[in-house]
Amino acid sequence: MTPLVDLAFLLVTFFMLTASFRQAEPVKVTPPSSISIEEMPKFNFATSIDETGRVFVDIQPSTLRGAIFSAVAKKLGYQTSEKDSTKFVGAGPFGLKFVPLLKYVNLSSTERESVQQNGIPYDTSGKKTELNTWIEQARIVSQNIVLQEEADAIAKKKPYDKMERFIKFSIKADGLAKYDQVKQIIDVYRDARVKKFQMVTQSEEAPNINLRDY
Amino acid sequence: MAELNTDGGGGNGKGGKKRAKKQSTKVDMTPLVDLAFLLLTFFVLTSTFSQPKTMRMIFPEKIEDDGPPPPPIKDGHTVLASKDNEIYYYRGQLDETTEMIKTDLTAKGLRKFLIGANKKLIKTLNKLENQKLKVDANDTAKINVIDREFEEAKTKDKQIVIVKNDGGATYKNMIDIIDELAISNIIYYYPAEGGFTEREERLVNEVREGKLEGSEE
Repeated sequence: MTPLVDLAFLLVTFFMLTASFRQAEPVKVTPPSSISIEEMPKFNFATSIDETGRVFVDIQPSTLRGAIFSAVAKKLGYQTSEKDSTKFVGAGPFGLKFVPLLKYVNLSSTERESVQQNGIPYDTSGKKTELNTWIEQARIVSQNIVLQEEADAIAKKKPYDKMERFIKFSIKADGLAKYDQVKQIIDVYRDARVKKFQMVTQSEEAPNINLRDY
Repeated sequence: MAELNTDGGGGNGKGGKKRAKKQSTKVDMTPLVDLAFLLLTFFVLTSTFSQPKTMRMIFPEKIEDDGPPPPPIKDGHTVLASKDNEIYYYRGQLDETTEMIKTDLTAKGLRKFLIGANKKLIKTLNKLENQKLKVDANDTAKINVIDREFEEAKTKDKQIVIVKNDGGATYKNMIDIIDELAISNIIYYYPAEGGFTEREERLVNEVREGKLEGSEE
């Protein structure tokens, strides 16, 4: 019996430590599948686009997330406290204008579920909107942090992988959304000088190609 | 373990000496095991191991309105996506003799055309891949030579594909097309802006109306 219990608890511990719980998402998005095997970036500005074209943003990791929040608030001219920033870090993906967002982050997690989110506003005619500010500030904040960390690493003579630590932009769009709609949002990113994207897909096995069949 | 203490306490037997009841030192572990397995089941079922995968997509710099237009791509094939998951393609430049062909996203559809078009490169890549497998992993000089040949082959036998959509295609259609390109080892592709041209529109409509039988060769 004792070895059995030992084993059971060992497995429990293993699963407990390796488990990464999926965060409650305010929107359900089913991405298409591809044979690509690239992992999700660790430093990730994740955009979700649902069937109707609403835009939701999530930022990883939390250090970057807090810093970007403060930078966006400052840029848009809102006063935010340290507490708002901490609350925002734990709030998961969001799709709100900045003012409702401030209210939203200060709600409890159950209250948050009942909030109707209409997506972060964006404009397709090239006018600057809040989505632009989020993207631009994410890029600037990430760049500043990376440069700072790189300088520190050089001073301490430690290796530093700059490319890996730069924020990447991933887009998870619903397969049923019109491509043009997704493209319009991609164009907002291009206005903010982002050109490289990681399109989130479900994985699919690569087919075996026998050239004789073609 | 889970056995019951059945010795009936210490005071039985008449006239016997009263002794302290001998307590069993065994702890019943069944509930503990139950709990452990319950937790185990919970974590096994809720943990998400596989992270979603991502596909890299690079868009060109946005062209300013007053800037020079990009040069047209002369050689290459064009894949067109339209509403209701309709996929069309044509080879080379669009002119009077161009045949618009209707296809789909199954293994026998677009993939057949793309792999057929890219056969030469795929053959070379497969050959180099096999060569690389035979080479000793420590022989960096040889591996470098093969890597260079890889790059050379990729530019020499390259196929260019332009992907267009007329506003009717879904995001899934586009990702599927780009995925087919990846399966067929086509590295150079461009998602074109601005929809179909007038002639493309007309040819697609002709195929739709059945004036031209869209047939696979």
